[in-house]
Amino acid sequence: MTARARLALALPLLFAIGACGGDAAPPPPEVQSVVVITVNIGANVPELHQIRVAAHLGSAGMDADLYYPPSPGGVIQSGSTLAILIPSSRMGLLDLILYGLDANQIMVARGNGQTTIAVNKSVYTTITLGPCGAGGC
Amino acid sequence: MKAAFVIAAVCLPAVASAGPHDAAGDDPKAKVQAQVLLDEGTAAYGRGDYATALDKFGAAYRIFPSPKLWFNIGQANRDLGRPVEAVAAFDRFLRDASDAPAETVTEARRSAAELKKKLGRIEVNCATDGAEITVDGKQIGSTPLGEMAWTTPGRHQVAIQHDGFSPAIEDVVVTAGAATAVNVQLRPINLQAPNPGAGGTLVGGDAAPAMSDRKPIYRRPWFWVGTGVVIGAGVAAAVLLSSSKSNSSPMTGVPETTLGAQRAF
Repeated sequence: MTARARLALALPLLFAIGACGGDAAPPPPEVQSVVVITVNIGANVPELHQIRVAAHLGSAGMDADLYYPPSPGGVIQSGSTLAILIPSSRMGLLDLILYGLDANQIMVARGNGQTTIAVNKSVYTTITLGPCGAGGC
Repeated sequence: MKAAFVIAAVCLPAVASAGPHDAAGDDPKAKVQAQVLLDEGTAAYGRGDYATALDKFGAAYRIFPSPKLWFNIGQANRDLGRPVEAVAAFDRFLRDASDAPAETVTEARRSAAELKKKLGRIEVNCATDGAEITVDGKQIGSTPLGEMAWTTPGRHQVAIQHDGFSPAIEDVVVTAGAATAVNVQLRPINLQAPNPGAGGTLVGGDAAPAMSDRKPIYRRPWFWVGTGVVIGAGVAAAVLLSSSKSNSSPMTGVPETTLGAQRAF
């Protein structure tokens, strides 16, 4: 078989493989940036049932308010992790304030942090929640 | 613990005229302002409002940088559950506040030692001096890092960056009581002018191989090796996609988390 013939055979094979599965193939995964936050719970913090994340992206002048889990659940353990999915078009420094909510949805703990978005990659950060003072969070 | 706190808190006026580190020591107005902030911080700390206390102590330090204030800052950070910041403050107090009362020094040593048991350390080894080091996006210093950086146990992202070099980003898992070494070698970025023979601009330290022969692409071995790899990868991807169809997630590529993932912005 000549080199040209081998080339002619290989290229259609590539296309054939690409077509395998037809409409059963799932859509390609969306490209996005991810910020993974490890939540450490400090001393004297009451039981937490939900985490509220207030995120501010200064470069875009945008804010987001997210709840983890979306509905209050069981007691959240220290060392739990949560992720923020960010479109690839966003970049820059992300300011984060985490509030810990008790079973009655009252803010009882707070912590803050900062991280820089790594476009299309995951960045990891750790934020420790401390108890809110008498003046509230 | 609180007794030691009060001891440090009331020391500021004496420090004002005594310490060589007190840059604002000759400004009586700054001293008074700092004392007011210190008193407010002390009151906030006493009622358990550590966040306000920390704000006040920080403001007092900015106005009147007495190294003894690091003790107060360390205690507020510790009680806010911020052990890394607390250790840094206590260490700085122990290093700079040479004329602090013995019992305050003892308390700072005890608190720092207790906190350090729960923390791990990151050691950065990089031959390029002056590179900026960040841990989880927060700058901790530059190379050579004189001492290891304390951090909480768990996964952290360490980035080392220097102008003119490709940045190095390492994910490390830190264990309490242990040191984790990050060894990096920054590679210089060389922008070469287009080579008339090769016909391209290169980014990176390696020169391009010269076009010594003019064989067509399909007569080169690497072309067929590459073709084989692409075909193999395609087959493997097709098999994987078809086998995982039933449990595929729309958030492909998102690290697993205990509290879930949500979109923002």
